Amino acid sequence: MQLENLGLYYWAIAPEIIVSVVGVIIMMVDAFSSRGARKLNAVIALAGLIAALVSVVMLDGLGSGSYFSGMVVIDPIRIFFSVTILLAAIVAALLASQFLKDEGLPPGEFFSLLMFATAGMLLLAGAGDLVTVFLGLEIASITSYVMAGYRRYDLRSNESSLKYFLLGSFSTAFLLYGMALTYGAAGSTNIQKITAAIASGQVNYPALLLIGAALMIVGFGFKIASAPFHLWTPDVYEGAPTIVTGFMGTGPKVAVFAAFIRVFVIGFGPQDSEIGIQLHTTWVTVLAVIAALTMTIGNVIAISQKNIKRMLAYSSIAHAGYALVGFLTGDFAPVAFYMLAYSIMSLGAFAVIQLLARAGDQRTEIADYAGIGFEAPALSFSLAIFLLSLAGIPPTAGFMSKFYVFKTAWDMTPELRWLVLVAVINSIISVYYYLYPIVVMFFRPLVPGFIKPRIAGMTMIALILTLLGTFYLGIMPNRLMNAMSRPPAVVTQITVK
Amino acid sequence: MSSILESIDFYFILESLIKIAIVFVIGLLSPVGMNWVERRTLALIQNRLGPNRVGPFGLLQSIADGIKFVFKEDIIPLAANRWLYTLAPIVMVIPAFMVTIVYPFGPEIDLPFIGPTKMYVTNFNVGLLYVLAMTSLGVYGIILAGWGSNSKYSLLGGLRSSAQVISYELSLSLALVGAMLQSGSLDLVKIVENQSGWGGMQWHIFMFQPLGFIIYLISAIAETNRVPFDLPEAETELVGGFHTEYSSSLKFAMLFMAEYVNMLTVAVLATVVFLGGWNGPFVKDFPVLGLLYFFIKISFFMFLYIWLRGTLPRFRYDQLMNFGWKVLLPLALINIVISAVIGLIVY
Amino acid sequence: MKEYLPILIVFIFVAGFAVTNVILAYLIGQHKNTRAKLMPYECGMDPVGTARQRFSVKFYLVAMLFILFDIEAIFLVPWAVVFKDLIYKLSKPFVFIEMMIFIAVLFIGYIYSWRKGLFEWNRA
Repeated sequence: MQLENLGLYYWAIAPEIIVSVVGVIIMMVDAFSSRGARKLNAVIALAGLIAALVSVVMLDGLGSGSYFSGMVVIDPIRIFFSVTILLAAIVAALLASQFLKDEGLPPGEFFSLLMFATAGMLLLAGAGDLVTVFLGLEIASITSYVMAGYRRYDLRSNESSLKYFLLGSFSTAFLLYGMALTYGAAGSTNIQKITAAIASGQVNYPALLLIGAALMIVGFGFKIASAPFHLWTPDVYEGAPTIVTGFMGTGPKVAVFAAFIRVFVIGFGPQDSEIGIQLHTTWVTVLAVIAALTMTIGNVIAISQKNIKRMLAYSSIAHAGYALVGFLTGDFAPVAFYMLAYSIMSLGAFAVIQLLARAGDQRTEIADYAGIGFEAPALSFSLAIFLLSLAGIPPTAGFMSKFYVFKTAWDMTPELRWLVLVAVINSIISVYYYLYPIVVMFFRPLVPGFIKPRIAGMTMIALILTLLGTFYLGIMPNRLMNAMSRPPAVVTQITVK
Repeated sequence: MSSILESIDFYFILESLIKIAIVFVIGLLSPVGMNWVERRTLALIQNRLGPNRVGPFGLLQSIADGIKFVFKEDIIPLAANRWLYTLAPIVMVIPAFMVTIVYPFGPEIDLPFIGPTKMYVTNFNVGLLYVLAMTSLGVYGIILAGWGSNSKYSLLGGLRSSAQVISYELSLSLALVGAMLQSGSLDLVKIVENQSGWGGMQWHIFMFQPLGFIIYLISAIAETNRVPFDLPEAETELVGGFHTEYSSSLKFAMLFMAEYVNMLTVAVLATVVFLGGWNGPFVKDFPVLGLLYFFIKISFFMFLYIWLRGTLPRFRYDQLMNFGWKVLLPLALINIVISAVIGLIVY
Repeated sequence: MKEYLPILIVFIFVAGFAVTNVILAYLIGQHKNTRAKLMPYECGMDPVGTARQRFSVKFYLVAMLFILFDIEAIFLVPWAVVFKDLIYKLSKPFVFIEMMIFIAVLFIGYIYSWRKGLFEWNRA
């Protein structure tokens, strides 16, 4: 064994290292400050996240490769998804400061949990090995379980945390078992080696590989909240503190999509061997059905929701379905673009909801929004824009991302055009429930007892950022799309740079 | 099937059986002997006579007690959970005795009529881990006894004891990590052989583990629930703790035996890991001396137990937990760092 | 593998011994049970209430802390055992620094728990 052969290049995991170290620093700051240094923690967290963002951009300049014996890879998938995750984390950190103050919750743990969750997601996005996928997923999930229950004295928050924890562990078991079977079939946990084994037809038990892939679909499907594994989502999203809901609905989902793409689209991609073709057609068919189901269930049930957080929970299920359509094109770019746009508008919407709901999530029914449109115009118009964007109305990010996904799917996979049609029909359905809160806000009499919320500086920055992002991606998406249109670099063998 | 039968080394099994029997008898007799020594020594310390009626110097007193255990009425309290209550002594005594097979009593000795014989039952490359694993199983017996008795004293004693045992087990195993660094092995015999330099005096306690030894010793005393860490038993407040409800029948005898064998085990481990096991001057020329050295070292620890019991008061519970978590644990971590630094310099 | 065989032998041996003891205790001892004799011991008084009471949450905390630190201690063991070999085969600073980082992380967690009052047995 030689040290050089291990491929230990620490800059390859620089973003993860930065984020975890900052998490630890926040822990220490919290431990040694007598009454929670909220502002200081927020600033440290933001500085760390921005430093990580810079390091991700610098990683992009280094080109593709795999490191740590193939455990971690650098490729465009990782870069784009990492940027999305970090942006979501930055917005969440900006929003968290006011949230923690209003709710009177301890700040130190929240920020360090946020950082650790981010580190796990970044690792998940850069995982080149099933083991690292599992590791990243566990770090991200376990911290999310805690964050979901962060409002400790609130029963709904506890319920949310417990449900998330129980179902999440259950699904992780599925994923792990799927990984074990895949390892048994392909003889390696390294995704590139698995691909090579499938391509050369050297699979020990083909049935094992199929079962493994099926179990992994269950595991990943749970984490991205696709039907029929979506049942946890509404309760968890409703009970968790709104900021956490926003973060949970974006960050982990983005990261899991990255790993999902790397395992399925690249790892189990179309290969020449018999088993390769069989595997590919099987999972594409299964995921197409899942995508159609997810969109339809999410949208149809969202219509009947009275609580805006539940509504957005179902909407997030539906959006996972749209992203899955992009997933099936075999290209990562539509999914990456879609998830970026979705993260920005969803976080923006949850930010406004958090502000309007006040401490303890008192006002989250859609009825509570009646007539507030011209009482709190800034918030109402922002929420309206985010909802319109979620519905996919131009000139917003939502429209552009949907258009990109649907067009790519229509062009590149003619056999899946029916799915695109289903998706378009679903988008039309979704307009109804996204418009409903807007109608309530602007065209109903004012609900009594409305107090105009205070907006702190950091929250304001977050809102402006998300608004700008929504319009930027909606009006000028070319630069990003061009950057993404590079082919996903598939590193054929484990090379050490 | 036949190939499996052929592959079994019957001579080895026979040898193991004989050795196990010998070690088992040693394990069985050591509580008896220890008990007598303890009573007499405590009596000396406390300026009284101690047992002196049964046999010369009261030597047979412990035997008499043992016989009494057998003929006593076997009581299962009405409130107790019958199965757990019965299971607890079994669960405690099995791991205690299972450890005895890896005691390395001495080097290979050329016995008359038999030939060269290893002075231990068996020896494998994870011996130290095996000992740690088996000793930590003992805590199940304690908690089962405490819970199964369904008496307040037992429950309190069981809980206290398990919390204490697991707290001190941390510093105990971390203290051993330093010695593992020095020896580079988990094999108890290799650890001993590693200390045979300097004419049999290159013990780990001198070779950079003095701090580790002290941490280990303190943790080991706490681990075996002896004075000054005997809160679980605390006869003055908890009337015996987890074995309050065990009347002096054979079940109590088993708990008692398990405790003494555990004491023996931590003493053996201290001897093997820190005090060079059977090593000492002239062992290379006269291997039989090894057995003597080993016996002397073990006796030292056993005497230390009694000495401490005779002289020290008992900790308060919060003091006990504070000491374990706030003093011993960081010290043990620092010891590992020091050992690693020394290792870097020396090797 | 044969050096592990005595473990099985001694287990059978000791388990037999323990079970025999339990049976012997039942067979040899006399049986004159009275209600008072079989009562849980409470200094000779009739027991008050039940023994199945809730106990301090501190015990659970200690158990959790134990699991955490014990797992970390277990990670130290293989490193310690191969330390001598690895500093020759790999490089000295690598073997040393990697584990020092691990211990540092462990220590930070320890300091955090201390500062957060997990080791204060007196506090609620």
